Amino acid sequence: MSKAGKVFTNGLFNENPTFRLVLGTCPTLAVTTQAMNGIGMGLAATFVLLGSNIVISLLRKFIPDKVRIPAFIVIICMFVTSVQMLMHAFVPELYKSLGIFIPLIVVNCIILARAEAFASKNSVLYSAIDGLGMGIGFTVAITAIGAIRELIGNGTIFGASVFGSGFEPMLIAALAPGGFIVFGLMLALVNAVSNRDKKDVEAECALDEKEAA
Amino acid sequence: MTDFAKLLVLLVTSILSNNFIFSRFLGCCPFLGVSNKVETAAGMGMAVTFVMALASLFTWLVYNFILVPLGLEYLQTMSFILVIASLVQFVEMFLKKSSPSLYKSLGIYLPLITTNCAVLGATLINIEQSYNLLFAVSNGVFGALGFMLAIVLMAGVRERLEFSKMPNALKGFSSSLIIAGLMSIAFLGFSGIGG
Amino acid sequence: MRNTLGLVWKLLLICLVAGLVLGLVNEVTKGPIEEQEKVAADNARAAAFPGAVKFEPLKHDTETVHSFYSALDDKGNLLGYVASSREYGYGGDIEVVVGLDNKGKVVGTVIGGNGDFSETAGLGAKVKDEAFAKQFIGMDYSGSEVKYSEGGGGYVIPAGSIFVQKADSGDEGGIDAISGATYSSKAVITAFNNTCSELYKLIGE
Repeated sequence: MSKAGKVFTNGLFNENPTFRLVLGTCPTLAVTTQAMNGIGMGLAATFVLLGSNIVISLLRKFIPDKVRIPAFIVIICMFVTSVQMLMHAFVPELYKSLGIFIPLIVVNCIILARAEAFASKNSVLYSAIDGLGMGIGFTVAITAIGAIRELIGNGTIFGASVFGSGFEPMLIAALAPGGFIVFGLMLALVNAVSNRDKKDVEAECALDEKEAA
Repeated sequence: MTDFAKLLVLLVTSILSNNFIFSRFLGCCPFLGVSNKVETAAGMGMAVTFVMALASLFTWLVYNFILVPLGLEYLQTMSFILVIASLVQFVEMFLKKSSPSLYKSLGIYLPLITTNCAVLGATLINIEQSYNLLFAVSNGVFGALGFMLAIVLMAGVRERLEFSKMPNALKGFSSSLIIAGLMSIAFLGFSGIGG
Repeated sequence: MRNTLGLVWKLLLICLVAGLVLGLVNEVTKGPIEEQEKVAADNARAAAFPGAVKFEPLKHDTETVHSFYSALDDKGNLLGYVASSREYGYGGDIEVVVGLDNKGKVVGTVIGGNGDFSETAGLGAKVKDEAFAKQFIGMDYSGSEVKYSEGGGGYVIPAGSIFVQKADSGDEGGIDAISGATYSSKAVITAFNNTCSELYKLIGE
């Protein structure tokens, strides 16, 4: 596989931010009461990741090492606030249901982690691909969690009724405890399904990073 | 309701029924990451309480006395995160010089707090709910106490869990999340309290 | 020292550029955001007063009740009034919009449409459900008394004192509270009562 392909799929599988790195747990738990929220949050985060990765990669020679973290945060913040205002203006319903978790994308560790671990060391092209891959990995993961919680907690997926009117939904799945438990069980499932154990993955990541550098 | 009653309700709700972790999902990263031992969990909780009280105070002042008069409300997130980051840095330096023993116990957690979404979350909630200064600072402190309760309880469970057998797939974050879910169910029992 | 200065100006430059970019985005989105908020408020008024096609702002704001509008039909005839009020519930303010026709009858309510609505999901947030909101519809605010008419056979209770009761308690004339969310329910009713009594003053004029 080409390097670009590798960088892209890395975010989807090997280093899926939600299921593998377990980063950004707050939005993962909080907004996944519905599948649609998962997509909205995921796309917003993807946009921020893509933008911040590109800009940070462009400025990686300009930003002094000592103040790199504040500089990254300012750049990330710029994208987050832009997304916030754009969502408020053009998708107000989604903006309302994601609420405070849009500005909180700033402290989503996925974004800062990618800035620090990847974008500040790699070319613009690869950083963009990395941001896109990570963002899509995050989106897919939280949309899946959202779909499951919506299905169990409300009997619908993307608002469409699945079981018919006879189904008595288990409200708990849509409430806070459901978030923790569904996420925990999915994490266990992903752990069980992926046949390689953790050490292999770590070794591979180290290798990838060497390659990248 | 008088202000005092409102404050009491805020205290009870932010610790029990509107707990930052169990019902608002703010501060989950340190909750899962730093809850191995009760001692470290308590240290983290105290550091968060300290920073959150100061952060609530300063962000409220910045918002109401700088951003609002200048019409720059849209810079809210950016200025808040900068206030929090520099506050954390400042507290770290201050503690290092003035109280080495306190620095020893809290110091290692301080850098982690900048990216703790509970702190930024609390300051944003203060503005969103248009709290006055007293309520803003109380909200920060009470919220942090709720966070501390959650993380210490979690650490208590995980300390015991170390000695029990469980399937490989469930080890680590997975089991922690499920435990958090069960605890969250218990906290759901508090909802409606104070009313 | 020169080194530190270098760090500072680079960081400041980044902040400045970021601030400018945000200012730009703010300029672009300011219009649409205002437009959205206006549409949302218009929609809430339309839902609180079904049948009205035009709303005209009135100056009647009090300490607790605001956004007074007169509701007009397509020929410009006065149908009634709409206003809204906020009250602190459990997690924050709950906004209640009420429509009162010119005979003093409640024609509609919109509960919890405010952006900072933050009652507990599954409990207090149920005040937004139709099942709760429709209990208010049909109440008669004429005279000095509130009559709870719809389905209740016209129970009479003193004005401004609609009370909450436990769900299915069988008491006559009260609003069934959401179980487990008394604070939220009470806040809604306080806001509702405040709004109604102000609206009724308009009808009297």
